Formats: sequence, structure tokens, C-alpha cells
Amino acid sequence: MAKIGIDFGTSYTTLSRVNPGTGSAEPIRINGKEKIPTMVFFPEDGDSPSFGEQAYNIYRTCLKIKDVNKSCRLLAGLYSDLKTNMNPEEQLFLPNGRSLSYTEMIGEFLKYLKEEVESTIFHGDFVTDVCITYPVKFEEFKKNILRAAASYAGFTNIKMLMEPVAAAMGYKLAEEKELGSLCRNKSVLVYDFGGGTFDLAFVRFDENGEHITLPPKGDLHCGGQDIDKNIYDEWDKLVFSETGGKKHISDVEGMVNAPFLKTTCRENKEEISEYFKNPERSREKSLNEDVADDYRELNVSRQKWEDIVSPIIDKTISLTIEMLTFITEQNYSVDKVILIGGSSRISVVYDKLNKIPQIRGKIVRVADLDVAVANGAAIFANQEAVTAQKCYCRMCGEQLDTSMKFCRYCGTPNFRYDFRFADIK
Amino acid sequence: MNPTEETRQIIAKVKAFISKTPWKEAFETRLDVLSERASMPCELAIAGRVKAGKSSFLNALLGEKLAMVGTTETTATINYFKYGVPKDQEHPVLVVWEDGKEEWQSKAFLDSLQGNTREVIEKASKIDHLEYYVQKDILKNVTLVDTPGTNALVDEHNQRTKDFFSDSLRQKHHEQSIRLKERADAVIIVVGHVPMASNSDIIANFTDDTKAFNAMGIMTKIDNENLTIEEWKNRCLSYSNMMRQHLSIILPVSASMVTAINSLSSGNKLQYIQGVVRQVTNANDFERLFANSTKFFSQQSAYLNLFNKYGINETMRKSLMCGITDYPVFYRIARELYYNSVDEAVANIRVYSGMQDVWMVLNKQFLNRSRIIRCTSVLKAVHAMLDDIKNRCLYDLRQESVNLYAYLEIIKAYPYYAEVYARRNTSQEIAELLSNTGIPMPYIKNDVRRAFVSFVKRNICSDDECKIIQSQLESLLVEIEQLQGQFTQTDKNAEALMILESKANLFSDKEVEEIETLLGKHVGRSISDLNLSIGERILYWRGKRHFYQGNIDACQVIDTTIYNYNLLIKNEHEYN
Repeated sequence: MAKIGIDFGTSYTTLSRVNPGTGSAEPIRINGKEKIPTMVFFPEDGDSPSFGEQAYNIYRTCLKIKDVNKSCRLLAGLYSDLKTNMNPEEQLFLPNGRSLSYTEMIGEFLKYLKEEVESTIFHGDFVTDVCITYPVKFEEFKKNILRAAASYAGFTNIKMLMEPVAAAMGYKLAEEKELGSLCRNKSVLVYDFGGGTFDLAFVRFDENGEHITLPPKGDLHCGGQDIDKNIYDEWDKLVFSETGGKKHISDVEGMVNAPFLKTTCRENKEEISEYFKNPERSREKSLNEDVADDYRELNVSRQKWEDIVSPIIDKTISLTIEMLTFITEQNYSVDKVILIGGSSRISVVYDKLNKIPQIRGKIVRVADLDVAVANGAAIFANQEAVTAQKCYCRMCGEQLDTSMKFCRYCGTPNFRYDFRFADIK
Repeated sequence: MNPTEETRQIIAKVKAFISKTPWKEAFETRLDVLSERASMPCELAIAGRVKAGKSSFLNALLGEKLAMVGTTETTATINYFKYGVPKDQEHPVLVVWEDGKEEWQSKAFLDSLQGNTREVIEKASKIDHLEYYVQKDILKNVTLVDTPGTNALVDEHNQRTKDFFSDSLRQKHHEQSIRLKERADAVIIVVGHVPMASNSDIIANFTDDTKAFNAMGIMTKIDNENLTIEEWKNRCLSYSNMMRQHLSIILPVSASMVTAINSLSSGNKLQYIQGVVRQVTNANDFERLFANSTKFFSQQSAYLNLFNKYGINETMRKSLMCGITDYPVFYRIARELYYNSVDEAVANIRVYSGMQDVWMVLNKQFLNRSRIIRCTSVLKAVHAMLDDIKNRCLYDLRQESVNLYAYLEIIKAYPYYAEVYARRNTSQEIAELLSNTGIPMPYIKNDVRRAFVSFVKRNICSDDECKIIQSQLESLLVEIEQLQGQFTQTDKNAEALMILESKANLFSDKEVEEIETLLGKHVGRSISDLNLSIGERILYWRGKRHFYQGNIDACQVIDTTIYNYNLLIKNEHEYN
């Protein structure tokens, strides 16, 4: 009877659970990684499919294959954009000749996650309850597919929660634990800058929990992938100039070298971003990679790095400013801005946001950027499981339980009060 | 499939649902408006900077001189062009004032709106919009909207005329433009012949909600620079690549060329010009004399002598222009006539003016799809409304339902408070109840309490009712999304075909043929004629899709292709 939260993302899926020992949410690692690529790979010979990291490794295999047609053929079995393309009518054709609906395809993926989690974390205990998150602007039919997929995977108790709400919830609980008081009548702006998409949502907390009051904003084509593409373009320029205008990274004109983009450039991005996090580093970051049949070196200065990321980040900044003006027009105010999603790890994001006067100094970077949503989902999945425990009033010594805010005899605040009770509806 | 009917049916369903909920008043009228909008012609807004040439383009499009063209900030009002006949030829324009009054006005009234003086601006600021009724086939399915230049980018020299009225007028235009932006189904953005950074702001501003496919750009006043049509097209292409997120295509157009050739075609004016021009027997001399207006009207003896040599005196030169005010336009026409026969020259100029391309794209992108465009935008609005209800109103309702029992408890326990509460928050019904009973105040406590209880019960849903409403809402949303899906799919196929046509080098010829056949471009041929293994093709395209990351066009075409193939496979399975 274990419960988990799943953040089913465009490029990565993350899992989380509430640790019974500490009572707080923590990410679940599969094969040592918290981010599991949302990918399914079906081999041509009809073997059983592979998921997540194993499916992602097809790109690495392709990196070694020099023939484009062969790698095309191999990648045909890789299903990676399940979240954006899902559709109730379509049947996905598989390399082995069968076909699956989106429900079954996502169901298979969730089933894989479920089995992995059951065997490693919960030691054979069945995971029956799950909370899956979805974006605010998510069509109703997609939600239905996701729900059906979860029941296909074998989850019996399925809850759905909006991504920004989940993120805000995780943040709120952490805050309440720290302050020891309730977090009420506050509003936060959730800035979710992930792998493929960017979302902004305004979440308010009040007596009845968290909810979205204003329509969200977002960009469907703005995320880490675009930064990868810009780094790819830098490499391409380098190759082009070093070969005297004879060669590109990709052999065919108009096409990109997908394996290189998906593996090397993505890793480059994480490397550079980590390198320039330290504001005192002024030297160039040099990258050495095997590109276009040769070892080449690309030097990225801080200025160049900013040039690479700025076009994409500026889009999110202008959307944020629009959203903030809209919020002010509606007579609301923002107490905190929560940054989540892997791409908001880039220090430029924080610097640029901090320049907006309305939210200067109110920006919070959550500790687990990638899993903040999944953490919230796990908390939500576990909410009903919170049971009251015996405790005593510190003033009069009468017996109470942890669900009571005040002593019912003398009215003293109960300092053993469990804040999670506030969220049970 | 009749998109209008289906849209209206679904709106009727939504209305039936809304009428049973507490939000009847708030949304019913809006639904009526939307339902009406679904059957009205689709709105095509023409936007652009101040003086970019919007009105000239519109005149060229309609072939009539309707919108006023001038050198100052001309279009002081929003103009609608609709299909129909004006009631009275003397008063062809319907003026809609800000307070909602409508009256038919004469041409003289329009002339009084020209210029930039205080009175004109004062007058114009009281007008909501003007409506012109024209009998043009294009207007049967589409209403054209001519917008005033957006105020986001006021020219510096316009700042001179800045006073209270022009400020407020500009503010009003800005607001109206924003409103238009929200309801226009498709947009034509007019950019000047020199691409400027400020243009991209306007384009981004005006098209951020509409799909790029529903927005096209027009590069006007191309007669101002002496370039061939190919050079213009290349310039447009590079510019449209820059703007490809917002605009599907940018076409070069010379509006004044169209008007000039239209006016010259009547009578024998073209033949007359050709006759005079051909008196200059030496081609080099022709280029020398006609190349620009200073030479043409020069008083220098060298030029005068040359003109006299070919028997063209000054009065002839003046009459030769036949009322064309733009010299570059005249020069191009004269040059075509000099080297070609009249018919050829007219054909060449029509090609150069770019209007034919505009018509082609307009037909393909807007006119043929106008019903779908309109219905999609209406459905989008309905969907947004239901979303709003679901996220905001339903939440409030649920919150109240939680409080319902608390309210009732309070009323029972404290009759006095209930009365005070009722009086303080006098809702209409309770106030009426109080006044109708006629019982002296001290004796009505119980009545008020009863009335209050029933009022609270009537206006607050219980928890179960909330759940029913939510499930109804969700099923309605699914239904709308299905319809939207149908519309977008037909749209997506058209879109993919358009992309294939405009970006020829995206795929090889064989691949293009395959996609075009699959999407039904070639009538009478189906994909089965090509003898392809569908499964193989799906895998081929799926693999290829990975290599086109970052190329939005290619991805869109491939996605549509795969989707269509998948549908084929599904149908086959069902058939078996």
C-alpha cells in the first residue's frame, strides 16, 4: 500500500515519495538518477521495449553509427514526445508491426516505473496510490488518457494535480515546517522552466487549500531543448569554419545530427551552466568533443554563454513581466516567486528575474528544482494517510492528538500540531 | 461537415448547461454573442505602423477608392468593409458613434475627417467606427477591418501634433486595436518597404495569440526602390524567415501600381502613353530622359533640346502622366510600354504589383478556410469560458457549499444576526420580501429567518451538486475539444500542404509527392496508388523526425504525415 507522486514531463519524468522516517517528500532514484527520460524504445526484432535511461541510450548508440539511414531506422522505434502528441484516436505503429494507443504506450511506461519502484524502494510492497501532475493548460481528453494509462499500469487509486499547485504545495509545507506557523492568504508565482516548455501560474493559498485564480501563461516551444539547439549551432559554426566551409556536423543539408544534439549538446549545457554558476569565474570554459570525425575544442566565454541562453530566457522574462502586470491589474500581489524546472538552474535566469522591480528579493530557488513538482504530488498522494498521534498539552497536561491546533481544555497552542492536517479536504 | 452548424449546436448545449447553474446571468449573453459570431463572416484585420500603406493596400485589394489615402495620419477611425449595398448612394457610409447611434453619411463628411487639426481629431474621437458596404465577392465570407496605426510606435514627427485630443484618440485607437487583436480571426500585417526593428515589435504584438498560419505580411510601397520583383521576393523571404514564428509569408505589393494600371486601362490612355514614349527612337535617350522626375521635368537646355528633338514639349510631358502622382510608378509603366506591346506591358505590371500572388495566398490561406477559422476562434473562446468557470467560479461555489451548513447553523442560532446580515447585505429578493410583508419590524424576525434560509439554500449548491456540475463541465470540455480536434486536423493538412509549397527544398521530390498524395492534394489519387508499405513509411518518417529538431516547418509536416498514416493503419485494422 505504498503511495508515490509522478511528474510526467515532456522530456523527463520524476518520481517522489514521502519518507515514512522523516515525514518529508524525497525523490526516488531509478538506476541512480532522479530524472527519467520520458521515452519508450521498441526494437525492430520484436523484443520487449526498453524505457527511460535505456531508451535514451539509443541516441548514444546512434552517435557511433555513421550512416544516417541506419540511425534513422533505429530511432524510428524511439517514442519521445508522448505528452505533447497524445491523442485518443491515434494508434501508434510499432517497428514490430503491432500498434498501440497512447493510453497503452504511456501505460507501459508507467508500469515500468511502478515495477522499478516496487522492487527497489518498497521491497515488494505494491504501489497502489499515485498522484500524477499535469500542466494548467492541459486538454481534458489528455487528462483522461493519463488517468486511463495509470489504471492500465495497475494503479488503483489515482489522483490528478496541477503542476504549479503541486510545486507550490511542496514549497508551502517546507515553509510551514520552518516557520512553525500556517501559511495562509499568500500568493506565489510558479516559474516552471523545464526541458521543453515554459509555464507561469499564479497560485493562492487560503482556508480551502491551494488554487489557481488567474489564467496561466506559457510558451509551448521554449525550454532547455532550445538552448541545446543553440549550443549545437555554435558547434556547427566551429566545424564549418575549421573545415573551410566544407562540412557541417550533419551530413545531410537541412537536417540536424540528432544524436549529437541530444547527448553531447545537452551535457555541454549542464557543464557550462554549472561552471558559470560561480560568479567569480571569468575564464573561458573549453569543451572538447569528437565532432565531425575529429577532436575539436569550443571555448565559451561568459559573454558567449549569455548570448546563447539570452534569446530563450528573455522570452520567459517578458512573459513574466506581462503576467506581473496582469496580476497587479487584478488587485493581487505576489509574495514569492518559486523557480522550478531544470532550466531555471541557469544563473542568468535568477539574475534577470531579480532585475524586475516588483519581485526583487522575492525569488526562491527550491532545493530540488527537478523534483519539486513530484514532491508536491507525493505529499498530495499521502495526505489522507496522515494519522493523528497521541500527545499531551504542555500547559495542563491533558491528552490531545496531533490533529488539534489548540488544547481543547485550556486553549494553549498545540506545538505538536501536524500541519498536513490543514491540507486534508 | 458544416462547421458553423456544429459549433452552434455545441454552444446551444453549453447554454442549456449554463442556464441551470448560478452563473446564468454572467455568461448567457456572452454565449449568445458567440453563437451569433459563429455564423458571421470571418474578420480579417489589416494592421501596421502609422503610414505603412494600409489604406492604399486595401484600396488595391477592393479595387475601389474607399479608404482615404493621404500623406498625413489618415485613417483616424476604424473602418469595416462588409458585403452589401448602401441604402442611399448619396450617403454611402454608416457611421457608428461611440454612444451606439448609427447614421448614414455622405462623402463630404468623410472629407471633413481628413487632416490633423484639432476639430477633426475631436470629431474622430467620438466615432466608434465607420462601415462601408461594397459588392465584392471577397467580402461575402470575410469582413475586412482597416485599423488605425498602432500607437505603440508613434513617429517622432507626429509628436508635434500632440495635444489632449490626439493623445486620447491615440489611446482609444490603441485600446481598439487590442480589442480587435482579440477578436480578429486572421491578420494581414503591412510592413513598410524597408524592414525595421520596430516592425517586428508590432508583428509580435499583434500576432501573439493568433497562429502564424493565420497571419500574413505585406511589404508595401515597393515601387519606391528600383528593384526587380525577384529581388523584392528575396528580400521578403529573408525577412519572413526572421519573422517565421509570427508570419507565415511576406509578399511584396505595389498598391499604387494597381490603382494606376486600373485607372489607365479605361480609355486609350495606355496607347497614348505608348505612342508618345515611342517617339523617342533611341533607347539610350529614353533611359536618360525618363529615369527620374528631375530629368523628366528638367528645365536645363540639354534635356529640353533632347525632348524637343523627339517632338515632346512641356505640356505633353505634363499631360503624359495622366493623373499618376507617383513618378516611379509612371516610369515603370512607361518603360514597360516602351519595350513591350500594351497587353504584355499590362500583364508585366500586374505581375510586378504582386496583387496576383496576394490573391492566391488570400484564397488559399483565408478565404477557403474562413468558416473553419471563425469556428475555431469561437470554440476557443467558449473553451476559455468553460475553463474559467471550472477554475474560478466552480471553486467559489464549492467554497460556498462548504459554508452552507455553517450559514444555516448561524441563522438558527442567532435569528437577530440573520436579520441584520440580511439588511446589511440587502440582496434584492430579501429587500422585496421585507417591504411586501408590511408587517411592523419587530414582528418579522421569524419570517426573515425563513426567507433567509430559503434564500441561502436556493443560491448555494450542495457538495453533490458541485460534483455533478463539474462532471458536466468536463464532458462539455471534452466535446468541444473533439470538435476543435476535427477542425484543426483539416486545418493542419492544409497547413502542411502550404508549407510544402512555399519551402520547396525541405524534402526530396519523391517525398513531396508522397506527402501531397497522402494529404489529398491530387484529386483522384490515393496513397495506395503509390504502392508503398505504410508501416515502412511510418518508420521512415518517425526516424527522420528526430533529425529535424528545431526546424518547426519540417516537424509540422512530418507530424501531420505520421498522423495521417496512423489513421490509415487504424482504419485498416477496424476494417479487418
